[in-house]
Amino acid sequence: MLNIFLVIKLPFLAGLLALLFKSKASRANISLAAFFISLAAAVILYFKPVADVSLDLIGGYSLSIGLTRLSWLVLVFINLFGLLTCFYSHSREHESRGYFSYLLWLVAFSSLAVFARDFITLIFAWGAVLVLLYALLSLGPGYSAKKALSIVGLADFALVLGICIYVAVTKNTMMPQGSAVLINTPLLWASFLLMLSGALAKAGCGPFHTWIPTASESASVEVMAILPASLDKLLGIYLLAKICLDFFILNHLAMALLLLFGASTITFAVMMALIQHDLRKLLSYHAISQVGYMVLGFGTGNPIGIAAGLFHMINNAIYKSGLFLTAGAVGERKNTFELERLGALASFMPVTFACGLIFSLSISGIPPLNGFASKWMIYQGALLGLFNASSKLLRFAFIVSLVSAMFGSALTLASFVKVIHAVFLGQDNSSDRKKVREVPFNMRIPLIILAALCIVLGLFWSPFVSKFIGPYLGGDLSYLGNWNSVFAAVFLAGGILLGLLLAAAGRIKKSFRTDGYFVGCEKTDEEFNFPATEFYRSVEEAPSVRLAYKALKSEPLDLYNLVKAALNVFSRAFYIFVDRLIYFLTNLAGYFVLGLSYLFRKMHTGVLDLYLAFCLAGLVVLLFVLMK
Amino acid sequence: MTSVFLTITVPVLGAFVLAALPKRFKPGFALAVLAATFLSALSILPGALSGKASALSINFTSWFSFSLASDGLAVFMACVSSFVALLICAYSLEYMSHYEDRGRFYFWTVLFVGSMMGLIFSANLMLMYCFWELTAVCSWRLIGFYRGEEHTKAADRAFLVTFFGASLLLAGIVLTYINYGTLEFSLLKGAALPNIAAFLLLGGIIAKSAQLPLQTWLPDAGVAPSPVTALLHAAVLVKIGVYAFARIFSSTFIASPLFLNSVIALSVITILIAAGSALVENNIKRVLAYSTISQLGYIILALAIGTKFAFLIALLYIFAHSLAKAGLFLCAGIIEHKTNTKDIDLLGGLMKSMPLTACAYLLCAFSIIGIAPLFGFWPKFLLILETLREGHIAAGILAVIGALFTLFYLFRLFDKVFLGEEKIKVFEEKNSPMVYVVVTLGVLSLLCGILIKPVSDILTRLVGC
Repeated sequence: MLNIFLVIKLPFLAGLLALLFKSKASRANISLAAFFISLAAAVILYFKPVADVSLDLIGGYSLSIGLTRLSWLVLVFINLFGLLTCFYSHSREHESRGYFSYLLWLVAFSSLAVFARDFITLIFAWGAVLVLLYALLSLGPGYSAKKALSIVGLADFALVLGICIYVAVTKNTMMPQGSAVLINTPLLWASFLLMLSGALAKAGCGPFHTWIPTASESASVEVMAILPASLDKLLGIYLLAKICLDFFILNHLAMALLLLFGASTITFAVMMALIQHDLRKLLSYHAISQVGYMVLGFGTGNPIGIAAGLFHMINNAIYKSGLFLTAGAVGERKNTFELERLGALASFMPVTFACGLIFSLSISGIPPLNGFASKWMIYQGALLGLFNASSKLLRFAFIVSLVSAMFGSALTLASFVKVIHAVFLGQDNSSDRKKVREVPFNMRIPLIILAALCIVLGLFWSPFVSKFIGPYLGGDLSYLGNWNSVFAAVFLAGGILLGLLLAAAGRIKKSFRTDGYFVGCEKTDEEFNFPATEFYRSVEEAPSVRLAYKALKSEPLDLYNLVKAALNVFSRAFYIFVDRLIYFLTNLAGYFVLGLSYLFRKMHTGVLDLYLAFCLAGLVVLLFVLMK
Repeated sequence: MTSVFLTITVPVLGAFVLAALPKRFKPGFALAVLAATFLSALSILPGALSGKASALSINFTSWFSFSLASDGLAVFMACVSSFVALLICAYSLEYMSHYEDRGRFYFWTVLFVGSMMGLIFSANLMLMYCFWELTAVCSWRLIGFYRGEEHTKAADRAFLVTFFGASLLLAGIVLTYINYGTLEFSLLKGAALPNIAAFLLLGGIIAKSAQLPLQTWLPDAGVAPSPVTALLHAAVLVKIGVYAFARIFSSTFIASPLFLNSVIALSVITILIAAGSALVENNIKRVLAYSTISQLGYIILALAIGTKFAFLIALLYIFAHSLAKAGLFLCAGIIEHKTNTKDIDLLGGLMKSMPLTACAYLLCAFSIIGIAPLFGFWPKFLLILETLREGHIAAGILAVIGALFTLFYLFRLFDKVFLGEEKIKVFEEKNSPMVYVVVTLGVLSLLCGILIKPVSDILTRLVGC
């Protein structure tokens, strides 16, 4: 019980306490202490598991929390990212007094979401995370917070509806464990699709992704690092795991749907990332693209693929938050995120460069880093699925997803070659070209920890997966091929060392001739510069993909604008054809009464002859009725 | 029973004493009377929690008696209404301070609360009708407070539409009397109400609670001063219809499935149409008025579901909506007070000068939308769940779509009023009682959401679910 208190209630209460302090340092220190204790408590929970705790609510419903192996893993990483982001933010300027409190509450409610053993607790925590997403994004300028709230809110309502249908069908508000249901009725299909929308939107998968690039332009990098890059991914994919493993038994159609969702997300997002010139926006598209791999992993339906999806969730959160924090470090020193105005930072910021390089290689799936390990597992899962596919649709989906995954990986590498070149190598393109210093200690440490995790999880992926993910899937994972990462790492390190020695030898004794630039008949001292932003210009302009890019960049096709347009059409129709019509009819009734009154008034003229005429007419009518 | 009697007589008599007082004492006295009313209602709570329902009856004829009863439902409504009315009165001390004729406002407000209390504790259908009409008169005078042509028209419209509804209600009461020979709730308990009588009674209820097709008076009533609109829309007037539905169809009679299904259909249509209309309007008070119509649709839906749990959800909804909607209307009042406009196209960027109001608005808006951990989340979520569990799949789905509309129209309002470029320069908010009141309502919406367990425990004990 104490550990549960420390993991959920302590950050929540610390958030309230932090609000009371005026000094930024005090707020940061309180937050740091709370995060540290809560992370330690989360780790201890592995050794001292706690029993489920239940609190009766109303009408027989209750709030229940408990911990499974998977939720423990997610819990630890949620707290770790909270701690690192807080540490990173320690020396940074934040205008809002609420920033650290929002961070603490975000971690507290995210922890509650993974602790949830019943649907009500899950939705409660989910809603609170949405509010905090809005609060954190509101700290920046622009309309990204509103856009995020609209899109994620839409998906959250879909999730609520999906869960309500599920509960109505299964008559149980507790999250099932080992009693998943077949998707065999329209209601269960609706429930599956609605819940899937909620999970995918939280993870930032297409078509619910459009708020992320918008947010990247205005939100601080810490917010991007903790929300779309890490916590949102962890929560969204955690829920996806629950949907695919605990709530439903996936059939071929559902698997194909997930595979195609994953494949399309990988492809379109990486293509968009390739043409971005703003570092944060580029990273945000990669954050979306990587979700595609995780979804694809779940779509395979086999243990390797699902384990790969979960492992990729952890890996992606590590290197993607690392990349955002790297971007933050660059932005801190250069005050810009425009690739065209950056360059040559490697020598000034060696630690940031080294960490950024590791993250870039990891996301590109270069061995022996963690990104490679999980992608390697995803390919195996997809291949296994392809071999065992029993329907044409599924076979087609597997082929498409395999091609997309490999294509996406290649384009990710291409994109990060551009990033590394534009930010750290090449020449300094900033207007002032001033020398910069490495970022402060508190900003470097999170980068180093995350980079170290990329290496450690890359080297020891197999024991990690079998120890922490395998048990949740209920058994040993048998791989198609063997990949000894430690062995490979030794060879790779040897190769790199040899290369460095050769380079050093070359520097000592120049064995090749170097010439200056020669244009026409004149020698020039000016260095020719090929900006990194021009790297893939030809791709964007290629006739075969130009149309696709046009569609992807199209504002009206943005889900936010589509939903807004649809709601506007319906609301105008409701307003004009119902509300105003009723208003008109009410007025008409009023005018009718007034008209009658006018008529009666006019009849009362005081002329006796007229009254006698009325009496006569009345008698005639009476006579007629009686005679009839 | 003394407390029940005091809860009604203190505001009713207080209103007349207030009318005789010098001008400068009126606001303070009105606040004191409403505070006493709230405390008096609160003092009945322990008895109701322990299941002791007290009753008083003075019979006049077979169809009319002065019968009062204090069961859980009545005590709950009395506490919520008087509490929100008290907060609104505290707010109006500053809001109405520059109006020469504010004594008239306080008189009608206090009398209004008194008649609401009378209606709540009525144990006879005819007595309830009398207080029902008294509230109509009070609201007519309050809506037309400014006495301009536009205000008079809006007040007349409200009075005529609700009077039309009240006529239907009266016809329903007559039919009930013809069928059962009594109008005492205690004697009618468990009786099956004929459909014609049920639909006639419903006519009165939907007029008072501004449900389709008798909803048009409520958006027009926004011409009244903001405390009045908050009182009408959030705490008292529109809740009368809902309370009457709960009292007549959930606690007394057994309604037919045809009737209940019709009400479910009507409430869902109201939710959607009103929410859609809110998305079109540009007048801040009209948007909130349509929002009220839509949210009342949810409450009626919960009551029409017909299960005991749905009844409890409806009460939770009433509480959550009263707090949050009063907060929203009072926020709108502060905005109107500072900028002299209700047109959201002319507003913008108020977040910088009015951060507390903006935060209070956000908390209340989140609650109305139904986003956790705010109070409004619980009844909305549980209602959707219960609707689907009871097999009303289409109603459940449409209720979620209605919630989505709510998200969009309330954030459109927030976006246009508080974000973006500052279009009208206003003084920063400082030590204003009006701001304290809206912040209190926002914080209460948050606290009740987080502390849902004790809140729901009290409600469960009150209504015995």
